[in-house]
Amino acid sequence: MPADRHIFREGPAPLRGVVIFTLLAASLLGVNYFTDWLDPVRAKALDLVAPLYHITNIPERLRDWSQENFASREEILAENQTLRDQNLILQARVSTMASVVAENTRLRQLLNVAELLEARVLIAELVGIPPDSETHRLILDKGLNQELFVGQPVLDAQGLVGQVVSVGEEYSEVLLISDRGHAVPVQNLRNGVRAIAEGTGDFQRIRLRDIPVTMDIKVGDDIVTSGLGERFPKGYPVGVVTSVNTIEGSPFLEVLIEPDSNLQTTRHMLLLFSGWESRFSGSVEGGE
Amino acid sequence: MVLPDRKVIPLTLYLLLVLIACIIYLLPIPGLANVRIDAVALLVLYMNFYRPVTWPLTLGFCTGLLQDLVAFAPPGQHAMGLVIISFLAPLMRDSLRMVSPVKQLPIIIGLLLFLKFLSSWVTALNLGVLPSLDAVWAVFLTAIFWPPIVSRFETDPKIRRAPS
Repeated sequence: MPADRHIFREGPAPLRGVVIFTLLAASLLGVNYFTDWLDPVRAKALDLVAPLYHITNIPERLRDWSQENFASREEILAENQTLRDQNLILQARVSTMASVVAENTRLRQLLNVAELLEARVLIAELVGIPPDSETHRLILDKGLNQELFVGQPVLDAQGLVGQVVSVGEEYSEVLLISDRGHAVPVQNLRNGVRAIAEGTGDFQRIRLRDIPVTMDIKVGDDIVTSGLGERFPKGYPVGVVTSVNTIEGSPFLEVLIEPDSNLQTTRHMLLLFSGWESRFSGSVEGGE
Repeated sequence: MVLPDRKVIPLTLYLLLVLIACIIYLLPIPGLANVRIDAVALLVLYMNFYRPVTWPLTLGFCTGLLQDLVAFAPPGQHAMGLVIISFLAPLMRDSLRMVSPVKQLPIIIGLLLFLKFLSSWVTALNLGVLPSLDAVWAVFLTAIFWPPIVSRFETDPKIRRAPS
């Protein structure tokens, strides 16, 4: 192979080169921050890069596989019994739920309120977690081919997980509710008081923003999505209030809630379709 | 003092190494979800110290962009740091190569901390927050791998221990 085909050789690095490349990198950062020009590239990159995340999952999948295949008979029987017990409890809850739903429907008709949409859902599996520790994002194994869209709500069995922020052909990127850049309109289930819940960068804590000291809010209150802004449907669990503190000299309370969803451990998630996805389809980039 | 030229590495091999480094970078560590081994930074440092390149800045920039792509980070975040590292490393190449891999650790940790500082600075501008301690743990965890890598692949007789 001729010597000039090699890229590795001794050579000086001129200072002007550093300045040019640093400015180039800064320009890219600026373009990414102030515009959405790079979003289509990001969406395309999802499909290119996500297979690498599959490779990084191999150790965990091997561990799960070995746990499943080498579990003792006693463990399987115990798990089976637990699942039967849970099934009984859930059946009992469903039977009472039917009457609640019927009553709710009747009251809505009386109040002339539009019926809540029956949501269509799609189950997606976690592919990987990007390595940046300061942002809370996930990669899921569903994309445009499954009709996902930007802004789509993501749930797990316990509550709201986040929303889709980028969609590739086969994969999508989800921003978690605990990310510092995420905010969701919520309301207190006890008294209907509305607020905005924003991420803190901590998986176990979300903050309610701008809550006046006169607001009626207590530790233990359940917080659900309010449906305002029409990005998240109304009534999905977000978390439970864990602390309410006054800040000296501030007219606002510091209210922290613990998310209901298992943000760090959940592997399977529900993607919610409920009829309003077409409103955001215009912002889906890079694929169709 | 000028050390002898090193054996050159073809571009395809370098790309393969970058791919492997990216996979290592993405590997979650059990119990330390927010700490990752920055194998890409280690690779760029190793290349700059032991496999001098014709266009170190271009290579650092392109490798950084690839790392940004793989990590879904803002494009330019890692690229900027790796460009500056690719400029700084050759300046201290000769002195660093004269000492053993373990004694090189303070410089390597310093450069990795500088990289992390730049990366965190970008995050701070984006999100308005300072980085957590996890970033520091990640640097130390990454640096641990430097001596074994250099000892395994470096054949420079100057840093080899003479037989007793």
